[in-house]
Amino acid sequence: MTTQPRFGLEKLSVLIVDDNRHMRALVQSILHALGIKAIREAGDAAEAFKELQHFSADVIIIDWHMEPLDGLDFVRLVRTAKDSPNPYVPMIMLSGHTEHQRICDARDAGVNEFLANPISAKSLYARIISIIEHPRPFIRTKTYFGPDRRRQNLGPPRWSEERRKETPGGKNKDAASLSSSDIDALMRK
Amino acid sequence: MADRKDDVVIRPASGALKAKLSTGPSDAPSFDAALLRKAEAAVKEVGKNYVDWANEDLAALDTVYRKLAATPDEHEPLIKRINRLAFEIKGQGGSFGYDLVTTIGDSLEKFTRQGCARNPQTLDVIGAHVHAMRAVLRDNLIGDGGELGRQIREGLGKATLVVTKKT
Repeated sequence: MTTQPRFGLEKLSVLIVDDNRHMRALVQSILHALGIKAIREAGDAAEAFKELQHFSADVIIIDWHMEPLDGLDFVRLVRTAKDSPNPYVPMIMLSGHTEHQRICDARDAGVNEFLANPISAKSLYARIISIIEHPRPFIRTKTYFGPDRRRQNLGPPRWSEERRKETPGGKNKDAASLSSSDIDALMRK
Repeated sequence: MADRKDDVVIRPASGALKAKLSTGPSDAPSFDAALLRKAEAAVKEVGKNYVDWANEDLAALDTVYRKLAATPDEHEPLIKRINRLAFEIKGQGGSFGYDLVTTIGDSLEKFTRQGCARNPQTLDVIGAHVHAMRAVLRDNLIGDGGELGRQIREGLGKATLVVTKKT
């Protein structure tokens, strides 16, 4: 007997924003295979912002490196523009740059998850599940608007061997700072 | 929970997506292994076109490289273009099992990131990366490429280091 998984992704709607058509094809094929039907694509940030006016995306997957507006510009636009259709939409940032500072920049722009290229089906699936399973409050400061940047240290994903071996209460305490655990969480494979 | 105590929480964590997508009991696994296998199979299917895509990118890289050799006055914008192409190449190979393409793309991307000196050695290093990528795709070197892959990585590493130290 198979157990019904907790979440089905059939009703999820996703906007993919990437100027590289090969990457869009790859991401779209993964999403389709995961059962997601409502998928839209945009080749640049301006087109994506227009798309959002009439497509209600539950999640946006965005590439960092685009021109003339890059992925960070787009995230800031969605989060803070007066005419933004949904400032709260969860966003997953794709990038080949994995330096600590870059990840901090993405977090400070308001992304929910960061995914390093080259991507895999497992890493993308994990980020989507994380967004569904661990929604975060939105906060406003003098310099920031977006999901709370302080995360819980959730440990390895629920399906992993490491997670199964964990003792209750062991690693799942609230993280007290933004430090390396946030970066680890953002980069979790 | 906010970043700092004086930050304002303007919307509590929303469970709307969780509610919208819930299909099984709350203690059921959130992750569906069968679905993942399906998604991995889909990546393999897309990957059948990967070598064609990579060859397109490689042809574009080769064109810019040749232009760089022929028109030194355009050095800076052409190096930027090479950097961008290397970045794109780096970001894809590993998704389809061509880890060595990603490694070579990464090496070229780093080499050209801060700009490069305008000299024949720079051209040699860029050319060596182009030739290495061509060889990997031609000989279908999947994964790290084994012994040949090690030699390619080592050769490019040495060449890059020599030129970087000189400039």
